[in-house]
Amino acid sequence: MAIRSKPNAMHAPPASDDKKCNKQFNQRARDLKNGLSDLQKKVDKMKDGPEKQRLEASLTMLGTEGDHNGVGVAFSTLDGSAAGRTDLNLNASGQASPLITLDPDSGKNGSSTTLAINAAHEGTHLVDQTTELLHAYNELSWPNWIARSPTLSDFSLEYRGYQTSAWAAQALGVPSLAYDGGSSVIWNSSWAAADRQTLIDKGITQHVTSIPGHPETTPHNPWPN
Amino acid sequence: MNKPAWTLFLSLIGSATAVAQNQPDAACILSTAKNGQTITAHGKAVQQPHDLGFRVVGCDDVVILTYAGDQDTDVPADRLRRDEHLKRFQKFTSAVYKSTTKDICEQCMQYGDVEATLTGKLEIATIPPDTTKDQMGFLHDASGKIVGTSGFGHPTRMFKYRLVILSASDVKARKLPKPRVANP
Repeated sequence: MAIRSKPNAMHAPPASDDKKCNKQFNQRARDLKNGLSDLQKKVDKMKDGPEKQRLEASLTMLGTEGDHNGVGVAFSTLDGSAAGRTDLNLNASGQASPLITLDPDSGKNGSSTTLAINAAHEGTHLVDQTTELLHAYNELSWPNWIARSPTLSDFSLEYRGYQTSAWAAQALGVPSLAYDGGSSVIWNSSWAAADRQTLIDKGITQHVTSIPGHPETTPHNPWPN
Repeated sequence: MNKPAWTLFLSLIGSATAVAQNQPDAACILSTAKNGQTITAHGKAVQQPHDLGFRVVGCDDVVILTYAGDQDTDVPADRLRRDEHLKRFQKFTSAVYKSTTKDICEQCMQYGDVEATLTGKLEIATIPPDTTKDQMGFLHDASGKIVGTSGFGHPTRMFKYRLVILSASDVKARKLPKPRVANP
């Protein structure tokens, strides 16, 4: 991945703040690298299973700085509560230009841990979008592909993203991860191992269905992983 | 990744399924507005996971918001009226509570029920004849080749409307309490 700053007009600091802005960017870039490195080490030690597979896929997609894998990571203020976003665009020849944008705001991505969690979430979105495109490419016949490999609904796409967030939090040793003012808990280390899958599902479902335009679809995750 | 998947050419993809877009209400300003038109509308901010939305009074569709001058718009920054109203709207819709090191609360807003009257350039996504839109917002021609995109929002382009904000007024919001992590 290639990390860069991407100021926008609404939030761009005055010229006199360039030094402060550069300092924040450098700090966030360091935090991101450290967070992803830490997550990778934790994932390496995880036992095999869907959690490890998902996190590995996301981390592989993100890559490491300077690996020229084509994935761009930008730091830029995002509108609303968004901490991250993914853009996948294709040029005229069909070549993709994937970009993940992370908000450097200290409330949204103020630590290496939150950066790693949010980057992993976006990495899963990128993996899923690429998977859908490549399935179509390999099948060469969209109707057949539709029949064999269902597209992800808007609910399922976000459900999988938050699954990754929860599993990343778990791997990083985060005590709890919540949304919606704390009412939608998607990870809590106090949960008994036997209850974790159910409670993660409950928390994510509650959060995603609260987002307008994301009605629940079942199975929540229609893909094997 | 040594050989990124991005280098693949995707022009052989087969035909796509169309994604239905909501039909606008008769009383909704969006139903009569034209693409590129400057409109003024009152509504309520709607938080999306990766975008800021806006539900105009009388309309069902969520409109994605962006600001004049932002990189992916063609509206110059000098058309953005950066007054106190705009600053309040930006603050109310983006301020989140900082997490503690122990418990992380993401997207936990400091303000809710954010209402405003916004003036901006309305952009309406269309699906050209002889093309279909897939779940990710890519447009395909009859042969299946990807010929463009349609829609707004991330990671998929699921929204039909986007408003490029020029100014805000009548901004109000409700202060929300600090998050408390529930114990399910």
